[in-house]
Amino acid sequence: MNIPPAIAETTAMNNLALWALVLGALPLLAFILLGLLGKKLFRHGDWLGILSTGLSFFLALYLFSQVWEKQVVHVSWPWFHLGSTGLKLISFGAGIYLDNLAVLMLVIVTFISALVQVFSVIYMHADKRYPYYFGYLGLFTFSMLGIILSDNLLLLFIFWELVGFSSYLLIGFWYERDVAVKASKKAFLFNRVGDIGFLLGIFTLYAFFQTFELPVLNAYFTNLSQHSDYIIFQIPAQLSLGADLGISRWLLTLGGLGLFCGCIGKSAQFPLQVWLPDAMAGPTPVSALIHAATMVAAGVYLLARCFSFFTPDVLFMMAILGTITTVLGALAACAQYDIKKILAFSTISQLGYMVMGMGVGAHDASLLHLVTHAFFKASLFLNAGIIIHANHQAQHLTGLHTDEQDIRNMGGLRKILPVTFYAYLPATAALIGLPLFSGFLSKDAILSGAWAWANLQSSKGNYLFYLIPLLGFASVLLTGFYMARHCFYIFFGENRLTPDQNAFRRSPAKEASGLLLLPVILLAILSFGFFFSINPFHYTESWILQGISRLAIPNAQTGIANNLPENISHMIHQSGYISLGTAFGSVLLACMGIFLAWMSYKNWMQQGASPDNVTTGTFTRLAYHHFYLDVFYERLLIAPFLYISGRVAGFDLNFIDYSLNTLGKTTVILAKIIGWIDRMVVDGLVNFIAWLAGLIGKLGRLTQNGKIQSYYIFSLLGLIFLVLYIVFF
Amino acid sequence: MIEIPLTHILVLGAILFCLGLLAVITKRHAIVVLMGIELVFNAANLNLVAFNRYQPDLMGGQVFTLFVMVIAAAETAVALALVLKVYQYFKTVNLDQIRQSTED
Repeated sequence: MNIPPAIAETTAMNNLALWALVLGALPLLAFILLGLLGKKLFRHGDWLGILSTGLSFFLALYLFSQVWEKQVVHVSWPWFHLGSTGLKLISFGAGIYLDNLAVLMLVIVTFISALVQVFSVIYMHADKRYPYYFGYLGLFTFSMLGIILSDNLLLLFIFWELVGFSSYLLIGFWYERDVAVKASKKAFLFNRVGDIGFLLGIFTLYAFFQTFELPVLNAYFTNLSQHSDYIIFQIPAQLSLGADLGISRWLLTLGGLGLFCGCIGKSAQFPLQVWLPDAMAGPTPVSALIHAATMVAAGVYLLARCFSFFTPDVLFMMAILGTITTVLGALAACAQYDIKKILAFSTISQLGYMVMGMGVGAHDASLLHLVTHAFFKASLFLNAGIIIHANHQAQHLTGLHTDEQDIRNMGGLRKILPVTFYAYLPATAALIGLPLFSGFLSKDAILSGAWAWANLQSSKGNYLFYLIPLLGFASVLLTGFYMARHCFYIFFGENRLTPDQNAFRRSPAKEASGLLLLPVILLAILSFGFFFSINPFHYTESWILQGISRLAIPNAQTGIANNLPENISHMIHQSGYISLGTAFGSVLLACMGIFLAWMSYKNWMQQGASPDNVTTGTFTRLAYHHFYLDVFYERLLIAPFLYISGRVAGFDLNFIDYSLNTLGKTTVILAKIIGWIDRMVVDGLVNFIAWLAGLIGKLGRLTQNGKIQSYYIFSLLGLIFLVLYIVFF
Repeated sequence: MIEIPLTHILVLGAILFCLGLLAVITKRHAIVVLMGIELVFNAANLNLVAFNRYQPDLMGGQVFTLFVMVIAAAETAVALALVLKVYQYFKTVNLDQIRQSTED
């Protein structure tokens, strides 16, 4: 690999940073407008979402053309200060960091987001919260772009949470359905678990280096000297913090594990991957954008951004967890019947590949897989959306009510939906990793890296390290099997729902709306390998791989991972058999997987009979229920938690509430007594005085009765009294 | 000529006064009440005339009686005018009915 000349870093405020801000703000603007105006807009505002994301896409293309392999833009603005002026003032900056990886991600996110929104125009047209759907997608796109553009971990964490929140909104978009509500809560909570680790990791780094800024942190990790159990970092002179910084390895490992926790939650790695299959309760285009192509890849993006902070122990942990995730996801995908769940488990499996790639030091291969996976998995999900849409329509027309996402109710769609079928094939081939398709390049790169890593690690005589690449290869076989099974169920044989083929189509002449097919076709074309590499048979010639490799970044060759990426890359170059061997091996295994699926399902496919509907066999059942991880969490965490909260509630009820209630009752009785005294004694006295005054008033009124003659009598009586007084006294 | 003792005249005046008072207190018709008042006046006048006998030269008692008669006539004229107005307003001169209709 030829290392390009050093790329200059631009730090002055310039047009590119401004355009990047505009790019990020456009989807937010769409979100705000759609949220405020909503249904008042023309066509309920779908054009607004698509337009803003489309503009963002063109801006991203412009930035890509300006930044890729040309420069690094880093512009930072002061954000806030902590501490009074008398003490040491700690200032925090917020900024934009554009390098090869960032601009590449910008293009992918905006492109897929725009396509998904175009797709949603038809897919969601009957929904009563149509404008809010586009608004949420705008919020998601904004947050995702924020993650990509952020130059510091604090800002990144904020956008990270926003992404989680918009994912929550979109999973629970159909909140009338109980499943969707539960799934959204589950996804949110599982992400929180990972995010706590992420936050602790950020704190750890801040505690050591007093900064959140990624470029500064990266600078620390380039000037260091390694010792047996601690690492000495050279403080840049301009910071004037004094002596060099010595940090023990295990603390850095803890911090790195914390950052990795964020990835475990967001990228659905073992043991937190259980939220992703449930997240399929959201609308299918959302699954394509968020839970397949972009958001779940954010964890891998984070790992790439923080790659130099990870100690070898953290990387080893990544390799192990990534491998476990890959195998578990692939096994679970083999037993599922829900069209979206198969794809979800396959996403988990592919994310496991990416994390494994990071762990073995093949970070560039991992990112390449992120890019290729984003396109072909989005394509698969959107195709699944078309199929669900068609199935829904057919069920509506025929009056049958079965699970419209169950692949056992499909079949024969090859003839009914030919365009979808031919769009599905390249994406499937890319996922399986067949040559000529994009997935082949990236998977090959990861597996080569894993093999070279095992080679390197086992040089001391421990051959257990080969387990990781071997399990990776096993997953290739499984991927071939489950994707072939998936396709056989959906597209081959005869349709098991209804013989009426036109029930599935928009019209006898047209299988689906053009707005549904256009994104799918575009994404299917992008599943071919030659977009990513000039030579579609060999990944090292991939322009993306060369662009995003850390080896191309000057001064980044050191790091605390014992130069793992360099050694891996060196080893692959030195012994050419590795990449050749993995290429042949993985293709062979993938074909074997497809063949196995063919052997298992050819009988009923040819006879047009229904496949057995019952899940038999202990292992199949285990895989179908995702190794009972949910049950495990239910039993181990939720049940004890509920038990403890039940007991605490009982204590509350029987002790605290009881004493409070008794106190309350006593007070009431006392109050009643005092009230009686009040009424009888105090009020009685007042009432008596009032009654007396009333009596006197009544007596007085008797004399003032308006009878003129009674007045005569009174004055006469007065006269008589006067006379008597005069006479007797 | 048999001198009528003063006591007789005073007793007659007292009887006349009591009759007038009785009429004033018990009668419901306003004009009858006025008539009672006239009787009371006349009782007073009778006393004044009787007392005149102690100083016949000055004729004070009789002159006073004339004054009282004139004032009583004027007062009666005013009272009758009031009764007329009351009648126009209430359509009755019954004192009890007037009282009831003022209370409504």
